[in-house]
Amino acid sequence: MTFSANRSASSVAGRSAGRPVRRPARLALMSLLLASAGLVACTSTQLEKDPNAADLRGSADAVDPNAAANASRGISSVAPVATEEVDPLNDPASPLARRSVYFQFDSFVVQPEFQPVVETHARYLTTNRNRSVVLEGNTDESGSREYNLALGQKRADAVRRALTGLGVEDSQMESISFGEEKPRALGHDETSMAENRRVDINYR
Amino acid sequence: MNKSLFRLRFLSFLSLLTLLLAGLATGLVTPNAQAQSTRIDVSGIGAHQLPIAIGRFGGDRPLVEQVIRSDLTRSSVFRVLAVDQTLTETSALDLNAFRNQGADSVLAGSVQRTAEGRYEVRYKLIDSVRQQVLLERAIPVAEGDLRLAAHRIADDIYERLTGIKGVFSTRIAFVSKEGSRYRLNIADWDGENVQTALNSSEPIISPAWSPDGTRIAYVSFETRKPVVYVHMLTTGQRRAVAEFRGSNSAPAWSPDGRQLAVTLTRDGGSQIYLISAEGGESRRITQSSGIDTEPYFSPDGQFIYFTSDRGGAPQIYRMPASGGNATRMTFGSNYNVSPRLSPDGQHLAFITRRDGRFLVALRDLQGNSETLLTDGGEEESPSFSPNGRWVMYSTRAGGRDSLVIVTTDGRFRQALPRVSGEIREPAWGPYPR
Repeated sequence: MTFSANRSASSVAGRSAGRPVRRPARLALMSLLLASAGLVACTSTQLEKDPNAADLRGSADAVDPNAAANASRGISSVAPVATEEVDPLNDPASPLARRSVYFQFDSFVVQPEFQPVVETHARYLTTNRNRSVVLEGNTDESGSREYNLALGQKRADAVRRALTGLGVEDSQMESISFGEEKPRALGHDETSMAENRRVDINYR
Repeated sequence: MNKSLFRLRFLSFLSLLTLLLAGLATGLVTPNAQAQSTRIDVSGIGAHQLPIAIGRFGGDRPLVEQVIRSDLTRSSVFRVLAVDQTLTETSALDLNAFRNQGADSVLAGSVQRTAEGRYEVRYKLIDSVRQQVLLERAIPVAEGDLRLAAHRIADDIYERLTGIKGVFSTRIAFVSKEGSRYRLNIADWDGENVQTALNSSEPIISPAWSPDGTRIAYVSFETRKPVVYVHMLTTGQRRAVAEFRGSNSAPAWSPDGRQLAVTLTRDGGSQIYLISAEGGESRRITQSSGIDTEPYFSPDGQFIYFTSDRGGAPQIYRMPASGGNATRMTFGSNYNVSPRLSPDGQHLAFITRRDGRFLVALRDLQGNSETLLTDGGEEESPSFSPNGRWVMYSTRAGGRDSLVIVTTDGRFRQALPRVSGEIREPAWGPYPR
């Protein structure tokens, strides 16, 4: 694990391998730093349960730009350090990378096999209250375009209800529909049609 | 007469359909939009067509007589007889000769240049049996409006000889998709003279003409969600009139042009609301836990027809235009959608699924009888001509969408010439004002 005095959200690129760090000790240190220096740093991780974490995370860019300079003066001032972390949303290996919920023909029920997908995003959204998603419903191409728009909406609403049930705030979600207008699979066979019976969880 | 312009076919109904679909599949009836002489297949039974002789018009603008011939032929009501000579409104005509050749009426005329870029179109319609002049007119016109003048003359002839108002000078709207471009296009009734009102990289659906023909409401996905716009055609000015949280779609104009019925999901689920055509607040008029969408006003403004799955499968219902109890209007299939009322309010056109195939059905609201107008299988978006004689719809053939019109008696149908790419979502505009 590398340490950097100046962390910005845009600099987060990948998960770095390194020495294991005892997290509780680091958290305690960070709390101390925050209290003593009055500075704000980012400590948010996927495992974070602290309800204040989201607020802290949202202020990640507010790290004191003079911190590095202060650090060189010795122990009279303490530089706050934030660990470099991967936003799990940007991690292709994270369960959050799965963002599609598929539906059976003429069905608007979230199938049990997609429950983990919904739960994973619910966990992230309840932990990160500043994040929001657009739930985009899609359908296959058969039948009326407008009716398909409504069917896609019904699917998006089903995912929204599932997320609501897991504690995601209404203000964090907008469910919309693309109906049959933006198919991911362009074929007219059943495999393509099945691919298009889908809700995408899109972070904006 | 340019005999290659039209290929009239007098064949039995079934074989014609086969022919039409085969034509669609092979591109036979999908001529290049740039080509001036469009080949048209008019399908149907040729009995009882009115025979009319049309000569070459005087002057050097053959476009006018070509468009008149095309309109009358496409109407399926006329049998246009070739006259290989110039017949002007001042020609001495041997009416007995025309009558003996089977022409009940004769059209003669000329297109004279009157000033730079200005013309006068004169024409005369004569009943060769009674030997009477039925119409005699002179129309001053700018060069760019020669096609429109020809459509208007065809309207006059059609109305004079059938008693029914013609639709040749009306326009249609449709959506084309070419590559990743979506265009909302306006064209003459015959699919010619295409003008693009909106060009977008995101889908456009559900165009609907305002009753006065000046504006079009539609759904655009340009902001990555469905939003309803109202678009002034002459100026290009447009406004998002329904841009609420969730999806906004399915605009339908009230007959007075002041309100739109739209489908919104702002309160959860797809429900029907009324909004001003200028935008503003919405008033919910359906209260179901399922889908209510595709509203369409009855021409008298009393009712709204719509699609709902409240009974478990999509069916068409009718309710008072301000909301209230809904009555189910369709049966006989577990998928009946996309209601459209005929201009006289007597017929309901819609899409029905039969044995897995999507067809245009027509329901007589008085007699409660129902007929199927098509048998392609992938039909969508029916739209009545303003005189109620035709229904235009989109269908998929040969893997591409195209537009077809069918007479409401189901006897004649023809494909519109195709611009490049796919064309769909037709909406037939009102009579010009």
